[in-house]
Amino acid sequence: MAAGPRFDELALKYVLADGDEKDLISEQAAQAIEESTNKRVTVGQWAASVHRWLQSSGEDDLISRAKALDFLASTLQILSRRDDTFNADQVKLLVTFFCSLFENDHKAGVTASTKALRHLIVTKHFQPTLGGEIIQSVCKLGDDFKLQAPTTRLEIYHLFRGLLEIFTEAYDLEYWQSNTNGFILDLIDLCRNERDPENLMMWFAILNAILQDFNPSVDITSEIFKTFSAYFPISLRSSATPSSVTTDNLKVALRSCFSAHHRIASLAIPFLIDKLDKVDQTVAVKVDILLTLDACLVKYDHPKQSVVPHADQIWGSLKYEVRNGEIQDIIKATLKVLCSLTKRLDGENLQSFLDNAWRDLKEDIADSKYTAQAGRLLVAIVGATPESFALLMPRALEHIKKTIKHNTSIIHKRHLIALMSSVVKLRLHLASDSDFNKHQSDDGILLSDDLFGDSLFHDLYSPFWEEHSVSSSPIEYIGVLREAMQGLGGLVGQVSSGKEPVKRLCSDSTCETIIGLLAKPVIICPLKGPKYFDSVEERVPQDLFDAGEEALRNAVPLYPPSFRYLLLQFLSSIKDTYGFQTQPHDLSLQIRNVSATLCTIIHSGMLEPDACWVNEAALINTLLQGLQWMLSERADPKFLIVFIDAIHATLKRALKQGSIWDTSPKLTKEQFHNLARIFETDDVPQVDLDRPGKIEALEVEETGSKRPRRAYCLFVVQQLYRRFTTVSNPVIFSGASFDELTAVALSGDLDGTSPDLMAKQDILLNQLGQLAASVFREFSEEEQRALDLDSEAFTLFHTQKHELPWSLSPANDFRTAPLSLGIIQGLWPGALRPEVHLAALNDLIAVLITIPMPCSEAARAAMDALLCVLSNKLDVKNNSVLIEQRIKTQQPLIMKIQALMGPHQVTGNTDLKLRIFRSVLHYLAGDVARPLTGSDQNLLLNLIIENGAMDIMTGRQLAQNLGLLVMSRECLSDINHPIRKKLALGWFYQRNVVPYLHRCFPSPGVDEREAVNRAVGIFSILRHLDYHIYASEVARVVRIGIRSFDTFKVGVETESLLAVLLHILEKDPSELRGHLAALILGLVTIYGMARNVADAARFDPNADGQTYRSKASRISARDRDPIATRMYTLEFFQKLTESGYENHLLLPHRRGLRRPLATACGDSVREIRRTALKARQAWEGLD
Amino acid sequence: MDKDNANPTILNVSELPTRLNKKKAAATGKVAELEVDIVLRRPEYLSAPFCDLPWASDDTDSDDGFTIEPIDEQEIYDLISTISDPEHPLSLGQLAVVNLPDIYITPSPSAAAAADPNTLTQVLVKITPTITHCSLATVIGLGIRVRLEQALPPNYRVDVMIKEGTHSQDDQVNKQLADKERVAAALENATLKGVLDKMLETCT
Repeated sequence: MAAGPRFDELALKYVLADGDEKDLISEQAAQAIEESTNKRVTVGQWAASVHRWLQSSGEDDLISRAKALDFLASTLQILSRRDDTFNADQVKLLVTFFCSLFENDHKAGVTASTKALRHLIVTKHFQPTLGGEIIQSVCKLGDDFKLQAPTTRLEIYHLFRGLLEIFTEAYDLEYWQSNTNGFILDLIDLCRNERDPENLMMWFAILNAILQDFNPSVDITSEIFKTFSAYFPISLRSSATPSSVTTDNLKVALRSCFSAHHRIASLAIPFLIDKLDKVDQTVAVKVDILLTLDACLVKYDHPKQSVVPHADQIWGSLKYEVRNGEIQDIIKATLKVLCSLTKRLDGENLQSFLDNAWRDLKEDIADSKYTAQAGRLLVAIVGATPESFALLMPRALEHIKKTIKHNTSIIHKRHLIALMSSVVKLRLHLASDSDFNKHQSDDGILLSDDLFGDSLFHDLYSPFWEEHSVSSSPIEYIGVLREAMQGLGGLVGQVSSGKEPVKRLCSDSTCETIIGLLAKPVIICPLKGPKYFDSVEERVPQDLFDAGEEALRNAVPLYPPSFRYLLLQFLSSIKDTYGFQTQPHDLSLQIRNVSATLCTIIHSGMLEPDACWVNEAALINTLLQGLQWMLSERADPKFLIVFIDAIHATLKRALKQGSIWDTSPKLTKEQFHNLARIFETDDVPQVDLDRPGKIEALEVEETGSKRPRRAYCLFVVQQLYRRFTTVSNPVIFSGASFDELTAVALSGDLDGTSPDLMAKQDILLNQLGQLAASVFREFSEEEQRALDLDSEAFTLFHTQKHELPWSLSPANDFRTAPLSLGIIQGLWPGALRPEVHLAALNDLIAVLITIPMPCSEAARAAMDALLCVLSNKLDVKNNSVLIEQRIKTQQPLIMKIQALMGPHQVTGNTDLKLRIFRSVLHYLAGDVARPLTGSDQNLLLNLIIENGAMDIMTGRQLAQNLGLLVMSRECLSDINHPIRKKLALGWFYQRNVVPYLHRCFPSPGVDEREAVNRAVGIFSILRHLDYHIYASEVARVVRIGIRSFDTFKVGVETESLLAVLLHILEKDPSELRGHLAALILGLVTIYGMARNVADAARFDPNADGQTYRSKASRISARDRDPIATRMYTLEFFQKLTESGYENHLLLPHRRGLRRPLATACGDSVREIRRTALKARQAWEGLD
Repeated sequence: MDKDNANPTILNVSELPTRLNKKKAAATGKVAELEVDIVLRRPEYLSAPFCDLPWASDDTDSDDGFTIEPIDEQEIYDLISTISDPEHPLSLGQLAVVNLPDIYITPSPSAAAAADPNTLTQVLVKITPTITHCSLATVIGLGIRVRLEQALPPNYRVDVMIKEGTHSQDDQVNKQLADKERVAAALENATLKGVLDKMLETCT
């Protein structure tokens, strides 16, 4: 037979081979055995193939002998996958053979034999009885076991684990269960000293399996317990060869040994308690002990035998961990254990345990030192099961109430009332817990329904509150009231337990009283302004306010009608206080704060989306009512503004929430109008905000979208716009009357001519416009189109009754412009129809270039912004007609500019001229963001850039304003859907800055004035550009900058220059390296001049400290007090030291900087002083 | 080294005097939460540089947050209260060695005169040692002096004294602190310089 010599060969090859080859060889051997017809002989030959190595037992052949045996083992590994290769006899023979190696060959044989046996025991014909034999032979290793490599030991553990599994699956499990005792002791002896983390994981698993699946005798159980408990508490030493096992893995594995079976309860629990009671345990160890104890209590079966006997001992020991404990982790773990313990008890056991615990707690609750801790224990125990709640709560509640009544110490009272709050909150939680309610009986007795209703309020909270909130209360009572509020907030939400339909335990009147108490510090006092306590400060103490707000936030979702009540209180408090007129405090500010609070209460996150929306609408309606009331009182516009702002904030919030929940499809105009009709009440005139919305309708109405927030927001904006504007005919337009013209004008609410009043009204109009912008920019393009918002922007929602032109209304000196801007600003370009758009744009341009100016200053600002938006959003879509019309819009501007700059100037008024220039820049800014016409075609831009700097009268001011072309602005930011091209700024820079860089120095053909003006313009632009755009010209820019130190005026000009220099310093300091001396010298001079300018302004007898920012003067505030210039210089000095320059470059300048920096520490502005100090320290710190 | 006072009274950092107005801080906290700040702000097109109109809102602060304020006692306090005590890991403010009412500025700070670099201004700080026999009172005084001289403009003169009746040898200590020559000599001493640097490390 050919196979014989082949096995010998294979074995030899295997011994000599390395790595992958080995697998192939054992594969071949396995195949040969598989395919042989006479298995008995083949197997014999295969086994005999290693004979020659076994004969030698010397130390030299250790390695080859081990390899030879490994040949057999790996062949077995392959064969074991097909488990019927060997018959029972062969298996037995092989097992005996390999077992013998444990006795004979401790050095070379162990690993291979273990491996072989692991594979043999899973073969089909393996007899479980052989298992005992295997264990016995392995145990013969004795002390040599420890000497094996950890990996070998791991193999042996795997072998044991496999055997245990075979025993448990064997048909004669009972036999094994009763006969394991012998080999278990051997095992324990063998493995007692294991240290390797991975092996320990296996060893613990084996012990766990023995405890769970076998039935060791009491002695053996105790041996096993000793074995694993010796490792407790386990930790991991840092080792040179880190294993994948972590300390936590070990802890969990060991913990599962403790909790493996209730038969070790009598050993484990006292052991753990004993460990816990030892002093000097670290926090981690204590937590480990407690977690282990918790695992035991949760997992042991038969609690009557395993848990009950130890209940009192556990309580006796653990209560001190809480009572005297300081570390939160330990306290939390302890409370968890006690909760688990209570869960395992029932009937008499529970009763007696609770009686025992209550004896301790009762005393501690009465002792102010321990009240808080006893409270935590109480909550942990009563919260465990419905039974424990039912058994303990009534007497505990009685005791707490009694103690509160008969107590005088404030601290104690505070602890007690806090405990009450915890109890109330606990019940709130339990009553909503469905698991908990399963156990409920019908009558709701378990959760003591009768104790948590009106009676609790009237017995405890109401008298308590009265006693502590009287005006003579000392300030310490605030803390007490704060705790009480928590409980009150929870009390309104108490519902019945049991199988009956859920009902509220407190009556409506009680709930309302409670809400009233909570609302007092949060809503009523801030508005009405009475001191909450006479003895303390004017305002409601912040603590009390916060606590009240939190309590309301929790209470409102629990008792929904409460929000309406709050709103009523809000409104009536405002009316009362406003009526008194002796406002000691700033009512408008308080209205703002309280409406913000109300908004917060709605959005506490606990409300259902629908409820939240209804509350939002209710709040907005209330604010509208407040606004209407203020209007009817003809209140100062500042009150109106406050309401507008509050509505704005709420709408914004509502829309934000809406975008999350409201996934309804786009609304059409009809839908909008249908919805709007729901909100409107027929008998109320449109301009009346008093009864603005039937929000009740929303709750039941089945409309296309469930929560028509956007429709409601639109409705609110419409109402407000219609309220503050009206359609007038004839129109008074700058003194002249136009009989033919019908236009939108401001309503009678906004008449009055005093400049101060008008300024406030302008703020109102602007805020209203911003409100509209916040709403409309959330609409989709289709929605905006459906609503014709482009034309409504000019008719301001008065279309239904009148034919109105699509252009800004000239009435009231164009003061409605902010309202138009509010709508246009947020429109998608596609929502602007070209016919509306072009007409409006041309009209606007005509107005803005009119001399004298036909509009107010505030209106002009809004009109400039509108001009920018319109010029940007004109979507020409490659339509040549449109492109032409668009270019045509520039024509009047070009002509105007040429006229203004020409030799025969139309006006000598530079101020007006500058305004027109600025309007042109706003127009161009819209263009620059999307350079569609191309620079060649943009004649207006060329004109401004090329000729502007040469203008004698206004060239300098025009240059200062060039930054307007490129600076980022809100109306062109992405939220407002502008048309923007990515590389627009880079394109602009290349076409309009680079070609002029060389003209910033005087040269033939460039006079000094032009050079300076160009430099001013370039820095004004560069300031708003990213560094990378001008990085390639930065060297020239720096040179221009240094030259400009002498030529720039301190103020806006130096500010731009310094901003650019700071930018360069930050991005590429090396560009400044060669210029340090010039820069430092120049900046020191600039700072000095800036200080002088500011000081001069301040000492100007005509301008005292307050009014030097006076509006009357046309000199901008930044030129009068160049704060930013001073700030930037000092920042520059400070950053110089942080920019990575070598010290030898900086140190020569330190001497010259000391004095200026010291002087700067006395700057008049605190922020600047702070920066100066930082710079000073940085320079002093250079070594 | 044994500490002179091993168990000093310590003030909570939150209880130290501060410029932050709690009322205002609380109000703005809520406002920020609600994004009301965005709403309440004046529209951008009405702000510089788009427009130079005044905004008649109730907000008295200027837009950029920069206001003209003189160097006052609180500012001096902020400069020195963060100095570390040489023997405790605590600041002089926490140990109540420096106290706001014990800082005097003459002429008293006013917006108009504050920034004039030619007005000579006197700053007097009276320190309260934690115990009457504190041996480190001189070092603390020196630290305060050094800190203020490094942080105040040249027209400010700094005096540091022991508060009356808080030290058994206040005369001597005051004399040392007032003696320019001795102060200069002390700063030459490397060990002392090391102690001072350590004390001033915590200043921001």
